[in-house]
Amino acid sequence: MPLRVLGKGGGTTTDVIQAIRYAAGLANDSDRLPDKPVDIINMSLGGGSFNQAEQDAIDAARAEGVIVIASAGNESNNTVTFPAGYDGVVGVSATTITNELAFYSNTGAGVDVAAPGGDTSTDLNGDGIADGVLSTLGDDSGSGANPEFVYGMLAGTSMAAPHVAGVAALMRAEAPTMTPDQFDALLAAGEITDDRGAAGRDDSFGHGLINAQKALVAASGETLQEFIVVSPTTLNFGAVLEVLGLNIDNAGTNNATVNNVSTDAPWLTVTPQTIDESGAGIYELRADRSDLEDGNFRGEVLVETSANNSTVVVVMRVSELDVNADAGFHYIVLLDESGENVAQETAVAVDGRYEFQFDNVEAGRYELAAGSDTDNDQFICDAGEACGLFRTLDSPTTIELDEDLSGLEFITGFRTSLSSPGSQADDGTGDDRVEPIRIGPPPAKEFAQ
Amino acid sequence: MKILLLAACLIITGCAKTASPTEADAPTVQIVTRSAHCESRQAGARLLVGISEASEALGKSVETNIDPNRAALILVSLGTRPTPGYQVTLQSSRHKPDADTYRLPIAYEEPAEDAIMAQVITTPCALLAVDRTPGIHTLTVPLYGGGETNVYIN
Repeated sequence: MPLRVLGKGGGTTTDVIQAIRYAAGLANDSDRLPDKPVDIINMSLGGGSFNQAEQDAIDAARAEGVIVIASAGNESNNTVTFPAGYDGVVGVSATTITNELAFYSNTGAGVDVAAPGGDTSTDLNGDGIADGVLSTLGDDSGSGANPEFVYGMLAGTSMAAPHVAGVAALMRAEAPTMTPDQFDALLAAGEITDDRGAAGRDDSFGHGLINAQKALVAASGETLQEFIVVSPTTLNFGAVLEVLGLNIDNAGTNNATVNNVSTDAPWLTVTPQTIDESGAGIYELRADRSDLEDGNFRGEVLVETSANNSTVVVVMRVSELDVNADAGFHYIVLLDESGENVAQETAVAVDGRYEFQFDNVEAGRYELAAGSDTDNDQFICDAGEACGLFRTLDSPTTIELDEDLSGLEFITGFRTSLSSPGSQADDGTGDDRVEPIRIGPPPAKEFAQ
Repeated sequence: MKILLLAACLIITGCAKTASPTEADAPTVQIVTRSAHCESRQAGARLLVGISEASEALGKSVETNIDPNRAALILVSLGTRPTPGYQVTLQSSRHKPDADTYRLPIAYEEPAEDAIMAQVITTPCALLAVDRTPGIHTLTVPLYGGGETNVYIN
């Protein structure tokens, strides 16, 4: 039931109150009632100040069994906006693609739960698409009388709140008699979230990041299943790489154990690198090209666990010409979590490899990129320019830097053709969706209120 | 003697014209289009070379008959804002050029303090077309949040 309460220039408390009352099947100024009242109200909006009539409308809706959810607000304030700040409203803060609090999200006592709100200023997963939330978008900035309705990658607590509303709807489908108080109790007990930030409830994430699976299980009264997640599900050594990593993570109840990790490829070895007592963690895959003829090779890694089995496809290429590969003068760039360039080096190809080293880097989480800037526009990875990300363009991986690291190998090359003559360095980079990456001094990031 | 006087008068008239441009000498400014989701996340202004660059900067297709050779395309960005409702507007009065510099008659609108807004991050901007006028080489653009910047148009 979409009810529009905002227009150009925003909306009024009166309209919001009327919409709440109509949605909940309560008497309102329109003298009309819906055929069926809603179970859940999502308000991706905020502003104004406390209004008793609005609090009364929310109380009345809750009394009818309606779960009311609203955005915490985008001003980076330590107080949530209204209506999220009213009693009985589930206030939702926003997280990024790395499950951290978004830079714009309001915090405070009114935050009950966190959910993905995105950050369109970054592309940390390197998929060429801003790290926002795919959203419906009405663009009324044009000259036409009617807005243009499209989809767009947007960011905000407006995007976060509907994630919680959607999960609440799933729960209601599973447990139609669940009341707002029961929803609140499950939320407060951590039954429908993954705790983030300070242990227990905190003002940034509330009771944690919403988890649809846990919420459905909680609503159904069943128990979580064991399962293991393996990522990535494909790995490409290309023509140069010798070592890649495989993540095996315990999910669900966290009780599954890894029984065996093996491969059918004689040129591939798999060894545990950093694992816990359950066997979950990072496994090292090492390719050995010695004694192999030129050509493409394919193998599989089988992950067997007490809960579920997974297969990872691994490909590799052997080519004599690769030692002569040269994708031109290269910039190697270290990016922080916000995607800003924090350090860079330059290198030329020697025997098909670019060597680089960063000194005096602060501990933290980083991504590595490399590429050429043939058009001298201060961006690498433009169309027609060489480009690479650690570990691969398909699966960029964040580097946890807390001590000296070495052996960070990855492929760079041209993205336009995997088979163009004389460009063996392009192997494994067959993806043209990477956004150009700035080289040189990064611009200062700002968010003025 | 009459000839000498006439020559002096011409010289004086010419100097006065150069020193004191009037509002009538101001280039025509128009807002071509706006977008709430532009690429630039910093408040600022810059010259665009053509329509395709404008489309890229605004994140949407810009359709206009404006010839960039006859009108400078200026992108004015408001930076990253917490909600919709921020935009560039054109003032009705025209400024007087200062020698070869013209200050764009623009202002900025914000949502009312108590307005209820969608909580979506925006990066608003506007595409302005400024007629290329003989003698005007620099545009001074007031920036959102304070300050100004100069854009050199030829």
